[in-house]
Amino acid sequence: MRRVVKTLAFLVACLYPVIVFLCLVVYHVPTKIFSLCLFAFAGAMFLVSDSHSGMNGLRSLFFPLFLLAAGLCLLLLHSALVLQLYPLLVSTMLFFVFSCSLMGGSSIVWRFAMLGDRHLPFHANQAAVKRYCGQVTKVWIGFFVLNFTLSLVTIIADDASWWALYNGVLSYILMGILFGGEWMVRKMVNARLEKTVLLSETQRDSRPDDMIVCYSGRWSDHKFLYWKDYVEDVAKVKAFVEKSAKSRWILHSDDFWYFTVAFAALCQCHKTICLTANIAPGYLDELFDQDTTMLSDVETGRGTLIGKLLEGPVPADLSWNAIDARNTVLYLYTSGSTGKPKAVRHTLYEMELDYNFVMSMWGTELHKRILVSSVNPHHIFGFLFAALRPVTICVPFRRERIAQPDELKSQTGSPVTFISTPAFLKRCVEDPDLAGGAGLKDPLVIVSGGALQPMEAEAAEKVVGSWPIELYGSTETSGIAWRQTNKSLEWSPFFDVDFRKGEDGCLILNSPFIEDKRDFVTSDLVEIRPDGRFLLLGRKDSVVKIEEKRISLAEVEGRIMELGIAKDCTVVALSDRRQYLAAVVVLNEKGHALLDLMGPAERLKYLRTALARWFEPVVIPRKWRFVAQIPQDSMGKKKRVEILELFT
Amino acid sequence: MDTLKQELKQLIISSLDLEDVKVEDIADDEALFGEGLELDSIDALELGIAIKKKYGVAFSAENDDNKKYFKSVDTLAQYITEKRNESK
Repeated sequence: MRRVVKTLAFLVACLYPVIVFLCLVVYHVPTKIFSLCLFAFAGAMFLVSDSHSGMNGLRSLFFPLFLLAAGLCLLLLHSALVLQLYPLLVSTMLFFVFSCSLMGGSSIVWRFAMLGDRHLPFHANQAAVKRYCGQVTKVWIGFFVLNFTLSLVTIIADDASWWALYNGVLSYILMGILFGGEWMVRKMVNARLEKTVLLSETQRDSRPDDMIVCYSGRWSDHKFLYWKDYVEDVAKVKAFVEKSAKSRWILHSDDFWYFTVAFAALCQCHKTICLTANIAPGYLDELFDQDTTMLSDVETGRGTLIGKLLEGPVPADLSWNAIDARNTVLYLYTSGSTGKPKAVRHTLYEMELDYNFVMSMWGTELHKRILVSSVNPHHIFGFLFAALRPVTICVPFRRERIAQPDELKSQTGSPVTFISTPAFLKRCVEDPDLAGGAGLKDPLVIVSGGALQPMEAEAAEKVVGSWPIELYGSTETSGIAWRQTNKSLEWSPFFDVDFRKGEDGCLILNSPFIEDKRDFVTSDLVEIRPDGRFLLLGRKDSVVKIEEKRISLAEVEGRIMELGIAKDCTVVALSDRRQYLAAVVVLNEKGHALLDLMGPAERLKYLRTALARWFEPVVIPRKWRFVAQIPQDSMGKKKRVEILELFT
Repeated sequence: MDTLKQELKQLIISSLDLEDVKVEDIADDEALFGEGLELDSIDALELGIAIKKKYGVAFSAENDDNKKYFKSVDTLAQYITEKRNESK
């Protein structure tokens, strides 16, 4: 009953002018009867109104009180004047509500926007959005003044049909036009605010000065660095770099702010940039020559500290030099097979190319969140996702790297994108501090740098709060493909990446992200599906030969994992009397349930029969060891000697 | 015949260096290749040599029936008994 009356009241409030016009002018309902109707309706509304005290109570009584007054006026004075005042009262009320909110500093439109988008308080451009909402509020205030004036004119003109036409039809049309127009303008403003501006396209005023670029600690501390700070700090480093004749600059900084600022400055000065995570003195000796210097966030005895440069005064010249992406060269270093640093050359142009893909896949999700990373910016994945990209797509990033799993606990409360590695996620899973989950809010987890078994991904989901998206790529190739193992084990390639299977089973790439456009041969064994996705079967590096058969140890390991009985496993090639394979396995719960009951021979037969689905008998491990953990060092590399000792 | 089968099982285990497997783990009629222990082609060669050494019974390289004889301990024992009887 209450709901019926309320709905009716809402309809009457909206259609009010039309109803009044129809009853009094068209159908000539006697004023006595009409006023009685008004009394009855007002009474019904009194009865159902929530008996709040204070503002809410007054507001819910406004309409019935008004009806009562109008009814009395109609009955006693035979005048519809009070009835006609209704639109004026509504306009006046809204005028005051909107104006007061504007004076309070938090405009009513902004408050509505926050209700509609709960990610708004974490947007880089929240200040600009707030300003925009203030403007819209002012426009609406203007509209209420106009509406009041026109409404008043129709009353003074004393023409019931004009009054009904304007207040019942035209006024609503005007409101609709205003809503629609604002919606279109808002789309345009949003598109401009969230527009991707590549580093090579950036200008001093590409963004509003109060756009949040970076935060320190936790978001709720509000220790923000803004676009203005970015422009100024880049200019400080630029002023220093410009004066130097050195052309090769090593950049090392775990502090993402320093890194981002220094990188932009070096690009503007057309320097060659070398990114290295390793700053051991011997290693730097290898990199340094006459023409080399260094910017870093830690004292290495060489080059300059970025923090020192930023202490200086703000240069007068804040302009940006044009950056030539195709001729901006950077080197990343991998350990290389011989252990000597191996330089991999890229241009900024290639590095910026995959933005379209990343944004088409995860743009909306990235825009909703602030970004934290456990990957340092010297690694290609950390560089692209946590250093180069956030400013480009205006996503605020955390200045400090997440170095320990338990630091994640400080990042609760704000929706977050977490850039990480499978190895780090495994440590998160093992960290007792995170046993009940890290408590991240609405997280998006993107990892790269190694394989994450589906079971590990599942365990990670319990801790970090979402099933990690894996990116497949390397220092040489940048991104190649992605997958999320709760949806599919196959990798979906980035568009623009052409690939095929080579004669030796390895993936061959033709990617715009590799400067040398010829085929790039990876060491990853691949199985390509008819739909264009592919499975990775392991590294070719681990190929051994047994009786002239080429066998990928990684593939055998992969198949053992596929049996669903193991948490981890390693396969090694042994040769005593003959050559054969042997496996070390860490059983999972299912594996224990299945194999613990069997005798050794039965177990051996079971495993060999199970693997015979994929392999010839020669390939199937003959010796098995079941252990609690596979011997590995602190970096997660498996210790070969200790594994071999298990079989002696 | 049963003694021969026991001996054969022992021979399989020792010559193929099958750890974890005992004589009683191998049934007389159990398939040695293609399932269960999944012995491989090298195993077949080695087993052939061991049998030749111990019983003086050879498996001809051209003989297509070799697969049949190597099917299980039963078939091996039968083959060896037949061959020995022939040569007597």
